[in-house]
Amino acid sequence: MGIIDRLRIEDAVQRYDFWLELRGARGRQRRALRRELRANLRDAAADIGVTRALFNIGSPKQLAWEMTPDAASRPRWSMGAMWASLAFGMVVFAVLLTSISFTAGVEASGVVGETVRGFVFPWFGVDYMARVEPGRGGLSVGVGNVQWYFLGIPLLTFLAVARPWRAFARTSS
Amino acid sequence: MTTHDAQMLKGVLALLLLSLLAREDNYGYGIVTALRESGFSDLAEGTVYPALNRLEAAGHVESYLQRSDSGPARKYYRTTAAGHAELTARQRAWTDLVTAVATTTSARGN
Repeated sequence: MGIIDRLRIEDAVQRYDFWLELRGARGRQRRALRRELRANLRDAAADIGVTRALFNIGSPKQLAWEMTPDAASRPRWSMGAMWASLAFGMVVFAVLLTSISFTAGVEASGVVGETVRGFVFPWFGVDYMARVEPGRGGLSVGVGNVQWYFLGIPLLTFLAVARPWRAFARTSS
Repeated sequence: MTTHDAQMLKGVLALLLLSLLAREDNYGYGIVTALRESGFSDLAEGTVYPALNRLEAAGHVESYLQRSDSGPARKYYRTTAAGHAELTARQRAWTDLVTAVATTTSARGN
């Protein structure tokens, strides 16, 4: 079997593993399933060619879902981490956008040479600051007490998606 | 090439797998090949592998690794005692179904 064929099989196996991981399959189970699929694909490739062998297993995602029917009751750490990262990115983006708007507002009001502080809905407890220097001397922008949003929202997202309490439920059952 | 109704095949897949494994131990792709040689050419690996996995989870088959000359170790399946009992029950259910269907269809033909 050529190197390209091996790479195509490995690509399918890795995509399968990715979905197994997202599904919440445990490490040992994933290793066993990966190994089995790799061996079967190589045998099938030697028999009917790589293209047909890959076609016959269907979508790696669908296969991963069908191979782990009980995984729905496990914590989904990877999925939680992925959504938490996305939530973190969105919070950073929203805070940045709000500070730009706040600074634009201060600039438009014509207040120069002094620091303007304010609250912007819906950022409760967050202190937005902007200072416009006279004579186009520059801008300074600051945001205080935003750490709770940076930590809290991704953490809540992680908990909601990963559902770590499932691990305790499995242990106690 | 004979094609089979996908839903019908799904219903008897466990019976087919248990029957094959009761005859001899086999691994994933080997089972697919055996099924194709028996006339089930439209059975894809993506259907057979999850079915084997379900049988193993139910305790009807068990597995072991065996070295292969052509590549990585293969996961072989063999029928357990519970699997043999399940096979007998499924064979009986299948025979009953075939008899009932035959009776109904032949009665309609008369």
